[in-house]
Amino acid sequence: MVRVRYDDVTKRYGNEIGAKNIDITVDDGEFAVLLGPSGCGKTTTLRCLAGLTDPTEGEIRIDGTDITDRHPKNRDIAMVFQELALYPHMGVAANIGYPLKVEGVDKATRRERVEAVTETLDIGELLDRETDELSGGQRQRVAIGRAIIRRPSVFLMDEPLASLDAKLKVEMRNEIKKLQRELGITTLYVTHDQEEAMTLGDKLIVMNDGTVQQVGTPAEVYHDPANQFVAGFIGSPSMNFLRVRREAAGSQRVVAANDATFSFSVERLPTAVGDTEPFVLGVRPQYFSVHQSPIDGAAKAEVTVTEPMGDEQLLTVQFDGDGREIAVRAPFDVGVTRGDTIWLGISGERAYVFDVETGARIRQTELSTDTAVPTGSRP
Amino acid sequence: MSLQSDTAVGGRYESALLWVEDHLRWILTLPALAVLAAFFVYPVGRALVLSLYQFDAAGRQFVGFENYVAILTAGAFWQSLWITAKFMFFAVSFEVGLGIAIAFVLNSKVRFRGLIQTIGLVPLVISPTVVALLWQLLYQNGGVLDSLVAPLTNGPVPWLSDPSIALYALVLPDVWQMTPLVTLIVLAGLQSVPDHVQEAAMMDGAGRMRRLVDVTLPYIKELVVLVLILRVIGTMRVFAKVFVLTRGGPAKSTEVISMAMYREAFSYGNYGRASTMALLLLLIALAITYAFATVSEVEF
Repeated sequence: MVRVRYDDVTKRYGNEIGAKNIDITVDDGEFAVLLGPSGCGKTTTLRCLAGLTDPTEGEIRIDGTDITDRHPKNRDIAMVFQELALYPHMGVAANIGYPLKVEGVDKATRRERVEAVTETLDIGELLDRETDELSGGQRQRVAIGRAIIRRPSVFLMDEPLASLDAKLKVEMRNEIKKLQRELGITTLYVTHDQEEAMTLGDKLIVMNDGTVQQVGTPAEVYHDPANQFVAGFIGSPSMNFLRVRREAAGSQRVVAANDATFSFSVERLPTAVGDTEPFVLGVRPQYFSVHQSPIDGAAKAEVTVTEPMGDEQLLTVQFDGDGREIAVRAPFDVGVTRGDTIWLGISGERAYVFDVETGARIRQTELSTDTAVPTGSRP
Repeated sequence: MSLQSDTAVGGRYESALLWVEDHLRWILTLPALAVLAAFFVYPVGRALVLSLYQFDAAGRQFVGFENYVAILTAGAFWQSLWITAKFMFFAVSFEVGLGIAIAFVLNSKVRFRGLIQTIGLVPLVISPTVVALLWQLLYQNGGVLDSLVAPLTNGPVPWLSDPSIALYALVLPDVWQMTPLVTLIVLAGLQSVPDHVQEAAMMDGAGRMRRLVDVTLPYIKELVVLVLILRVIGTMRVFAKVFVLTRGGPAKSTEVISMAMYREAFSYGNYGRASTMALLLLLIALAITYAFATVSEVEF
């Protein structure tokens, strides 16, 4: 049982905040992913657990034991670095076996365990090679082998797939996930790639500006984002944000906040949203319905770019007379070209409402939330 | 007719171009080869020729390998070689040991590192003759060094006139001048060790000493071997400091090879013997370099 707990951890670099009030728990055997844009504090948070960065405030516990001030070598944590950090003057076997050598494990046992690990990682034939003779994916496996060989309590990975090409990335992603399941080691994984995070993590910890924005399962952060940042960061293409207000008191129709250009019907606007103040309406590209003739509750827009993507197409559209562009996903058989006029409706339960000032989510308190998995656009 | 001559001119031009293209690698290498020939091949060849002659009042006579036999069988050469080896051993040990230690200190988070580095480089840019003159002042009877060691000694120390300490007194200026070179090169090596590799070793359980041995030293090994070779060759050729401070004395106690060579050539006019010594020194330098490179498995 290995449970990692960050207790109000803050790291400051002079006047700069690296990570602020981090308060998270990663349960035994869980695969947690720290996700966020560059400079959001995810690596700082990970390094605090590794012992490579000292927190300014707060405590970090593993199974209730405070390890905040322990040297990295006394934490029983292994880490795979973004740069992989293989020892260039050692061969593959020596690299993987190094943690055991440091532990004082004898040569024969070491060789045996190195062979077992390389078999697991499918790199048995590389054992006697030098590290500079390896491809990117092979180096990756060696770095993972070095991290898992001594069966650490906690396994940390700092953007380990960043330098791989797209195909290899997907392949390694699956292998890492499989390996983590097999070994059952509590894992913290840092990435800025939301697709990687969604596919790998049991739990996503979304960060921005040094603070945790939301902790939840991939489905939770996708379908029930805590704020505008999370909503915009998770999902590709990003969620569209429109600054709107109710058309009239109690109306379920919204218009652009500057009184012009478009109006939509949104079935379930939270009652908390007042009648006159503007708010931000968030809609993912696939939750617009695309119509080629005017219908009630849809807004008129012009197609500026079409990007065919096989089963569907990505449209960039501009509201009538408005400069702003939004992304819309439509089925491939909706015949539109650049310059066409279309009408966009919104599937009401799929629209999110955020506070203009704080970006906080304004929830539909009186209604139950439907968290069905999206099935793409509905014309 | 004119068309024909145009074609002929064009043809010549083309074939000249082709010739240049075919010989381009030689044309481009030629300047470097010329410099090498002028400053290495010619002097060595000339020394080789001179080493086969004896010079005396009557002029020069071809003596074959007699100079080699005479030098290798006489005690003086071996004595000079031994003095050079002692100088080399003490100077190189202190320079490399101290240089590496200072490099490690400067590589940690020291305040005013840039300033210290800049000041530290000053001795390197001074000519060895000027360094020797500076130290001559320090070694003066009743000078700065004497007053520094006064509490430990009875009266002034005969730094340069006592045969038992004169050689060590020559080592000091060399250490003072050349340690910064070692520091500079090793520091560059230390700064090339990536942080993430050090951190990976930390995560793998390695403590400070273990990381030094397993990570840092392998990274700087090649540079340490390089600096060792540079200093061994440098100390083997030491001349200006010896010439200014002791002229090989007292009682030939500091007569290093280059000093003996100088005396042979310019005091006795025996260029044949001096050239023979120079060639023997070159062979020893090559052998040492080869030995270092082989033992350390470093490729240059």
